[in-house]
Amino acid sequence: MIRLEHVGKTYPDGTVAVGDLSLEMPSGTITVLVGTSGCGKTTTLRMVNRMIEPTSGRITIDDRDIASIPTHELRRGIGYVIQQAGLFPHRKVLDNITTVPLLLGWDKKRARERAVELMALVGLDPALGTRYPVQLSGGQQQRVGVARALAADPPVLLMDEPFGAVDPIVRAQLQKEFLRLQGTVQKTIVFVTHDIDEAVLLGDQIVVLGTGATVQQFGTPSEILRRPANPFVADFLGEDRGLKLLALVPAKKIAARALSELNGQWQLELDAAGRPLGWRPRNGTAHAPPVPLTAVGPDGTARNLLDAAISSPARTAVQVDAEGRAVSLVTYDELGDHLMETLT
Amino acid sequence: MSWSGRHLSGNWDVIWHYTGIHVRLTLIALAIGAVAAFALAIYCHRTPRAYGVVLASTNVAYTVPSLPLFILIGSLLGVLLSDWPLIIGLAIYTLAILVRNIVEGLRSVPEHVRLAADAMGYRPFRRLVSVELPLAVPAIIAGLRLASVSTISILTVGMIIGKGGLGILFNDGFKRNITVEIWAGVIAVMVLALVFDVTLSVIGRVLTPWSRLRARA
Repeated sequence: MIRLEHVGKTYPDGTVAVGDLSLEMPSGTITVLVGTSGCGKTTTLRMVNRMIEPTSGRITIDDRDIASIPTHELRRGIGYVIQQAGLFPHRKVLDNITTVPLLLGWDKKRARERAVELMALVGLDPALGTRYPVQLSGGQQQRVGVARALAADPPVLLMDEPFGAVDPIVRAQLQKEFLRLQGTVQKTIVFVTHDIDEAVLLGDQIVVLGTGATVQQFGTPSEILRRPANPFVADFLGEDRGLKLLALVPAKKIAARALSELNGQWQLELDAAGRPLGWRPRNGTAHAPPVPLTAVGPDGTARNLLDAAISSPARTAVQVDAEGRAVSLVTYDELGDHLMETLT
Repeated sequence: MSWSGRHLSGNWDVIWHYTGIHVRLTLIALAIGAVAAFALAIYCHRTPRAYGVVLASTNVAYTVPSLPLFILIGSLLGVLLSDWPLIIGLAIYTLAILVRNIVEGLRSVPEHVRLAADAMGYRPFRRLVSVELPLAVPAIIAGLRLASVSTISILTVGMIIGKGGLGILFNDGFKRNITVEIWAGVIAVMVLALVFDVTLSVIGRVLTPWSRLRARA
């Protein structure tokens, strides 16, 4: 567990970056520090590996006061991932990943083997190991950054907007894989972002910070979305707070009806394998193409269901299995009823 | 050793002799200048406030014309007719060129790379050697190329004090009115400068395979 006790950082010119911050970040979980730019979240993060020294208070990792550990030793035991990946341009991918193991005095062979293992873990083709960072895409560089941070298997990982510089599609993919990875490695992660959607998606717990790193609210994503502690938090969560909450509810939890129980003027057209092709009016001609639909997959959320239902002429969302075969339906009306039950 | 006759033939050994001296003096001056430049540049890199003062001083030194500089150093050393005023003067020019290039090279290391190095637990000296200096190599090589060409060229001025390798060929050719000798000296200087430049450029390419790769779209 990482514990901050009355930690503060005041610069010599009087600027207060962090006022008086006390936090507990449980081991094996992702704690997201979220707030507007300049709120002190990056300063807080950097105090954990002493890139910035606090001017007051105490930080402990597993009950060890970090001020008592020499900085270079402390840092070799803490993975660090930043927005631009910070890869060394003059070293090949494998040599970037082996940086910390070699600083720790591992033998080269073992460090190499570990690097190859990590490339697989973060979803990189091992053939990229002999490339230079500049030859990789932004997303690949970011994966190398994560692999490098994990190389010496540190218990703690600090991440400062690690997915901020890649395009939205790659970001979504990296976020998803990051969660899968965390399922395997179970690190104690402190994650900084200004993006509330990212915070909600990744955080086991979220710390909403105001100016001077004042804690506005600490809680699980669902707690914060349901009951924002104050207008600042509510405002920060944005106008679609309810929809964000829906995104936390798995579609599986919403009771669905069988495909045969479809009433009304529209029918679902399927291909030979049972995959939905679209909606067709019951009494319409067979010549017109069906109205296309977006189905909700097994990983979908209540938000996806709602979107699918309101964009369907039949006011009905279609759920499909992993192979894309239609399995069940949820109508808009039923969705409303179930959601209220689930959320309250 | 001196030029005989009015033709090139039979004088290759003379050209080689002075080329050898020219190369030796160039290398010594470059080496001294480079070692001093590294020390000064690393100091300036760590103490940014000192950089302005150092830069101003080396720039002033660079503006002193070469001949007065050699004579000045010679009189300070008390030995005018030796290689050392020449070597030290040229080392000062090398220093002036290189300090700037090394400091700028070190400064060109992206902030996030430096940050990542710190965060991974590099201590300052190891960070300098393993991360910052390798990334400054392109700028350092550019400085060395400039310094070597300028050293080879200015070295010829040493002929006035009876030193300076190939410069002696044009001085002697002029005095004895041997056009071929003057040209031999001029061309040898140019070829030598070219050889140094190309060699350094190749060394730079070998040391920095990463710097010529194009970024992926």
